[in-house]
Amino acid sequence: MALSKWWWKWIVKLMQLLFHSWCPCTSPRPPVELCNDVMFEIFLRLPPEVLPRFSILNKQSNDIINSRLFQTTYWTQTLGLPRLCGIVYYRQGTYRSPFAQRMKKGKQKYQFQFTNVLFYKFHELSFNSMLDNKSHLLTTRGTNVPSQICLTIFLLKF
Amino acid sequence: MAEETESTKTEPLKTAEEEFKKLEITEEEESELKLETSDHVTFMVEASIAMKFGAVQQYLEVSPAASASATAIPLHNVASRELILILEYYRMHDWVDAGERDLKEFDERFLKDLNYEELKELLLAANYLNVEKLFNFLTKSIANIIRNKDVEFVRTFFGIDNDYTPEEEAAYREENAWAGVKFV
Repeated sequence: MALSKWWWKWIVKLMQLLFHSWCPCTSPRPPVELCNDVMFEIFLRLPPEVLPRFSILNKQSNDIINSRLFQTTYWTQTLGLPRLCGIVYYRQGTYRSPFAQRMKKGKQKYQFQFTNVLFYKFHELSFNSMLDNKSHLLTTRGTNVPSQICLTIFLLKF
Repeated sequence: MAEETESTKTEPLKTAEEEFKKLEITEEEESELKLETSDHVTFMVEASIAMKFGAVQQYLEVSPAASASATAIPLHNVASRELILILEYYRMHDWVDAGERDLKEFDERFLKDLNYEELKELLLAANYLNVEKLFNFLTKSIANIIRNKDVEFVRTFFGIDNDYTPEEEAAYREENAWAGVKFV
């Protein structure tokens, strides 16, 4: 009895499936669009060197990658680095960015700027020496980075 | 004498029936949940597997009476085709005897059978159902597919239109040129 019941269920399922997939009235469907959450998760699993390329896809994808939430989760989860407090991105002249949080210090204008390029460059640096301190300030100038750009990274221990 | 022979005949029959009943009971003990997909197909799914779906868990938390399998749990954003694939994946990964090698082979075959559209649909379904293992697996495999491809391929892959003006795009490329970023 139990077996026959099971078979019936299976057959009914199969028939429904066949009918559904071979229905002649279905027109070719438009490409599936992924929602932002899913794109977010896919981008999280990409290596840092290809991320900048993916922010050029679309304004929406650029928004996702440059968002603060993405940058912090990418930094800690994917790269496994200490918790990121913020990156101060200072540049001569004004620099506009919708994601920047402005922070004024005296006459200088500092901006919180989370950009994918910074992650690409800075994940190569060694952070072991600075892990002893609770927080750390890293400033680079010159070598890799053009001289007019000054980068400061704040790190917090877990 | 006649009564005795009758009783001896019926005894083995009775024991067989009892065993059969026991078997039925053990089958029933593995409680099942009714899931209804968006195209109105109902599935009877083992509770052990169904409880791994975050959406089902949430539904049962809100209305615990539904676990009595009288009412079907509606899954509005999942079609029957995707649910079958998800169940297939979870049955394989729940299987006790499956070694790592088997699972790897299974995963490869699982990916080969899907084209890109199906992959994306399945990913959306997994996102809706909140199934971690499959979701991680799918996002990882998609990331592997697109990581070495050029921008145009990825745009068609996601079905995205480029809404940058050529000047904006060029400016972005110039700005990030110092980092040695390769835009293939």
